[in-house]
Amino acid sequence: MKRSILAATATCRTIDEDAKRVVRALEKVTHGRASTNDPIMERLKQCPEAFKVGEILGKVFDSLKYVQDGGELGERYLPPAGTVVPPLV
Amino acid sequence: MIGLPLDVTFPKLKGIRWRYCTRWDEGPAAVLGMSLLRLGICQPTDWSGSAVDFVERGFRRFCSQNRAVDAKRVWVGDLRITDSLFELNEQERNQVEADSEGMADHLYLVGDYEAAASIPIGATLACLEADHDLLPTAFYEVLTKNLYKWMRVYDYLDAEEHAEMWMEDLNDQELEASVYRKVDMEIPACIKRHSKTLKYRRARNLLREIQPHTSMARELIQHVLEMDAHGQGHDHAWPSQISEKDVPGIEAWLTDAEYSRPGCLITWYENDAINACFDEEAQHMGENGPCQPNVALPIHLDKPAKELDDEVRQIFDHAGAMLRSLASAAKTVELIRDLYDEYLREHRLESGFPVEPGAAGVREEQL
Repeated sequence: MKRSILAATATCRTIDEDAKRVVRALEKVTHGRASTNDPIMERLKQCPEAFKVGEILGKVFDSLKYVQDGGELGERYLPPAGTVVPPLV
Repeated sequence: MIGLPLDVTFPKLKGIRWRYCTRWDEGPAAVLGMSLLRLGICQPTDWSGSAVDFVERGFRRFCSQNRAVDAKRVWVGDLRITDSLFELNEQERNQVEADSEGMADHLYLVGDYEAAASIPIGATLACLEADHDLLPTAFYEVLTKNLYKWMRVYDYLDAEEHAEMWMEDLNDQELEASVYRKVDMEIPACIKRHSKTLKYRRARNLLREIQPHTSMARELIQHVLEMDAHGQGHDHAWPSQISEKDVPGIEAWLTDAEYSRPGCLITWYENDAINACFDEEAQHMGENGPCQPNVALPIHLDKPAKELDDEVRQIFDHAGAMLRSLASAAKTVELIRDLYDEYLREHRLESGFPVEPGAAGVREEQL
């Protein structure tokens, strides 16, 4: 009996601690601080030059994303981000 | 030079989340996520490193617990948490984000329908009338009153309004040949007789009191009363109820928008005069601007935690009631469709000729 109460208390404490950990992570997000566990952010921190290159390329692609003249408004020129484009054979 | 068609391949990425969101999306989601965690809607195990994912997991589980799967059997639409009342394409979204000074301080619970679910109710009314003279009107009244809590309903009253408008410009000869004239003619006598006097409260009491003889009628009444019970205490959350004080800029936004698309079309029989009027109106829906969503409830993220929790609790209560009520409504609609299919089988003009519903009659069974 005593053991089961102890086990229940331990479980409650774990859930409570998990909730606190999540609240802390969410608070960080609201204050604009990204999670340090994010693997992509970690890599970007180690190599900030890659971020700069990506930013420049992003701006170039943004200017090309939509049809500039003569096309319909909102018509995409480049596929959306994340699309895997198969190579032409 | 044209490339050969190739299957799209997806690279396998290990240890990386499925989705990455901008800080623009993550910030408001984190505030809502903390509230959902306090309310027990989200759980610590939902955390994957993204606030948007966290909210989505909690919201998905909540919808599933409130019978969203049953509702999806009939209703073609979605219930979502979003930072915009209207659907934006990527270009419009980028523009909104660029124009904004800070992070969004509002999120919305938005409910909308992609297509109107077909409810050919004529055969059901005939079945109910065989049991009791007042049953068809009572059933129709309680069903539509409850559907109206969650969606715009297109039925014979809308068709009458549309027909009256167009009939003004027709001469006698054109009137004779037009479908508009039939809208009034096709209203079942049982509805015409009692619809003006038998209103919701009396209709609901009647459904509770009457003991129908057939199991089908009993089942129909049981589901519609179940639907009614789930919706008790909730009114339709139209976007127009959001005040300018509540969400600055909302009035201008709504002025540019069109009326909501209907979530269902109640006809007597598929391809009848109501269906024809609906088809005419549907062709022009959304031509002059985006359609307002059917349901919109703002979540004010800038409130103190306790007030935010109260608001989020109320909004999720509304969402839960909507899903459960629509799940019961879906069962009712499935029975109505079964009765209509039976009617079609029994009333074929010539045996062997299949009934061919028009485009509007094709039912969407999938969400």
